[in-house]
Amino acid sequence: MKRLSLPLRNLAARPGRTAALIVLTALLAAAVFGGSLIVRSLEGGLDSLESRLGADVIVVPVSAASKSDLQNMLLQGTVGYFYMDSGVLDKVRGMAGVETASPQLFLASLRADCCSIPVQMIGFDRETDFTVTPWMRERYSGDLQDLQVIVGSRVNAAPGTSIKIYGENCKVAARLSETGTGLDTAVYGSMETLRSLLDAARGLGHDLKISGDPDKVISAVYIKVRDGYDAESVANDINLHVRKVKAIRTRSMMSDVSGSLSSIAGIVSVLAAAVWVMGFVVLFVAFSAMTRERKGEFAVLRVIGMTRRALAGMALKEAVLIGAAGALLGIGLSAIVVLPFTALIESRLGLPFLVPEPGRLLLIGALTLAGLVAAVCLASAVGAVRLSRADTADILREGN
Amino acid sequence: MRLEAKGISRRYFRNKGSANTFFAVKETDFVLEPGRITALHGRSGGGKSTLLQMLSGLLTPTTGEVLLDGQSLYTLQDRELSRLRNAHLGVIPQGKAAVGSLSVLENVLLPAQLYGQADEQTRKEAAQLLERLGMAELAGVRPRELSGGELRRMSIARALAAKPGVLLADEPTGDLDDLNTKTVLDLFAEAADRGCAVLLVTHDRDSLSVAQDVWRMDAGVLTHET
Amino acid sequence: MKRERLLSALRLALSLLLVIGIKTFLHACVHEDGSFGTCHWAGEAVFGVGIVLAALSALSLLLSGDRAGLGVAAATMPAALLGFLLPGGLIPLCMMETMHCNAVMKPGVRLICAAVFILSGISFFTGVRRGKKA
Repeated sequence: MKRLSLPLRNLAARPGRTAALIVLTALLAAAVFGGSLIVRSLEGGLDSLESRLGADVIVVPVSAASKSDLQNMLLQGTVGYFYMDSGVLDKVRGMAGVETASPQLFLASLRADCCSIPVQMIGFDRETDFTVTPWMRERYSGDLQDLQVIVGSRVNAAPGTSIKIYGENCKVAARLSETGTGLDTAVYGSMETLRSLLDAARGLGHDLKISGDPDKVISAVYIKVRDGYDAESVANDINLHVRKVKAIRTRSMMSDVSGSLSSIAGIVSVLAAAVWVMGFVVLFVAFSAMTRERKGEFAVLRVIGMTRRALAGMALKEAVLIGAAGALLGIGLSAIVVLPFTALIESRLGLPFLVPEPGRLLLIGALTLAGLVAAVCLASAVGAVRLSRADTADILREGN
Repeated sequence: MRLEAKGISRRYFRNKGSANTFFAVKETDFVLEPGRITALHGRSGGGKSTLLQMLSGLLTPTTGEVLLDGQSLYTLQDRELSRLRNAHLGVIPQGKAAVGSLSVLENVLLPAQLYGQADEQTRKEAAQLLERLGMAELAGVRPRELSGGELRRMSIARALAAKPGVLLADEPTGDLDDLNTKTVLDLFAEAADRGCAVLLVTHDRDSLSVAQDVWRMDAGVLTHET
Repeated sequence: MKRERLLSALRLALSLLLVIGIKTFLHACVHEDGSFGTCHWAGEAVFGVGIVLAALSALSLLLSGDRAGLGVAAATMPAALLGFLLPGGLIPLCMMETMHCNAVMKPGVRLICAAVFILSGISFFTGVRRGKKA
């Protein structure tokens, strides 16, 4: 029996109480780790949405699209399609403050090969695009040919395979990196590819509610604002001077998202804080009771020559063991509960949800572990210190 | 070893923080000589346990000093004092003194394990001690399964197994039957024969007979009887 | 012995959860037109594996303490592995990972099967170790 093993023996001798304390610490760890995991993922999703959109202003037809239509498409991956005449593009390009304007064309597949769920198709202009291309370059360096597509990370199609859309076989060139947004469930192709698919859809008799010349429609214009110009005034300008369209500032859309994000983050933090306050009080009481109960035992150890330091060290080691075991259990369990179900959480919350990369996850886990061990030590420290300060003689007397 | 108390006393506050104080032990000198058994008796609350605790290095006296072979205990740091207690002082405290997570044998061996490893010889002697105290069959059980008398005997075995230079026993035979009392007193006598200085605090008249010196303590005042 | 029974009972409970779950909250995707995708058949296969796992767990509960129980625990492991690999591995699921089969059925089935695998592994190896000691 080594000295180090005494704390372990003490814990093992009271399995019921040790288990209860470990479960309690696990609960605290799960609250902290799960909570920060969710908040971090929401923040990550918002960041990636912001960086992936890349546009300052987005112009959509006023008839078919309201702000929330586009927002649902981007955030939740609900499909949307709406059209306006491509003349809008020229008008917008001519306006003051517009540095780049790039059109996109949307289409919803009614039924891809395996699933009856519609897939959002997004066509981008290869010459002027500044949103999809940089993202695509992370995974694919070639040029997109006709009827060649790239798919979002949540579309289960490996590069080299093809997916059938409106009877046309589209070859998958690459799968994009994850954004945690509705962009992950879309399929991307060139403007030309989208136009042929649009024709195919109309050929199959689908009513896409296009007014005007079907060969000259676009769905949205993504605008980058020139330095020195204000995105809001550019958007206002467009709304004032271009008919039948609506210009949306991406920042205002973002602020909606970050509004719901901060309210969710607030709820999560309040819950986690409540769990902590309660848990800490229980831990404190449990450790105090434990110390009181074991006073006699500690006195014996002093009598046979254990130093105050060693005695406090033993009590602290027990706390560290409990804290570490509980933290690992809680972190493990909440990771098991949250990580496999991110897709579900994302669709339930209706917000971008991007789980941090493994390195960051480990960091969050390590911080949780450290925080928890510190908290458990703190809860036990008061008793341990009081005990090691107390005159052993007094304890022995009380024990009579 | 020789344990000497010079002018020690211990004052207590009646209520915490109040100026109302009393002396549990009034200023006194006291010596435990090697190879001798000293008995201390007197009424409850007379200050016997307080004296014993001051002698065992667990309670700092209000005045005076305690010397073990000339080394003053209370000028030592906790570390040194603890080691010294571990090496030379065998204390049998009142109350149910046991480490709950260890078996009876492990409890008895604990002093030897604290700063090292118990060798074969120590283990054998510990087992023999338990045997003589009628506890051989209980060596493997946990203290919570023991009766009061068994716990007491375990405490005695623990103090003796460390082969201390000074043995300080606080009512060691209080809850023992006649047979066990005799065994314990025999063990104390053997320890004294080995050169151990023994202090026996007791209510028990019979125990006084084994002592070479008998002291009495009442209301904090120590008087030599024989 | 008591712990062994507890492990078997836990395995049985998890297997039953799989059998019931795959027909309720862990179901495959429902298509509006009433047709089936491959995820439906993955679900049916998991249902079958779930019944096998439940039967094996019930058997090892009856045989706990017996050497034959060891064999049953060993047999449970590949069956649980099969259940783990079926959705998305051996049988492809829907294309969109936000769909029910990908978002709920697959992770749910995999968690349960992994737990059954680990529990039967524990039963097996503690059994083997005890067998060696005896």
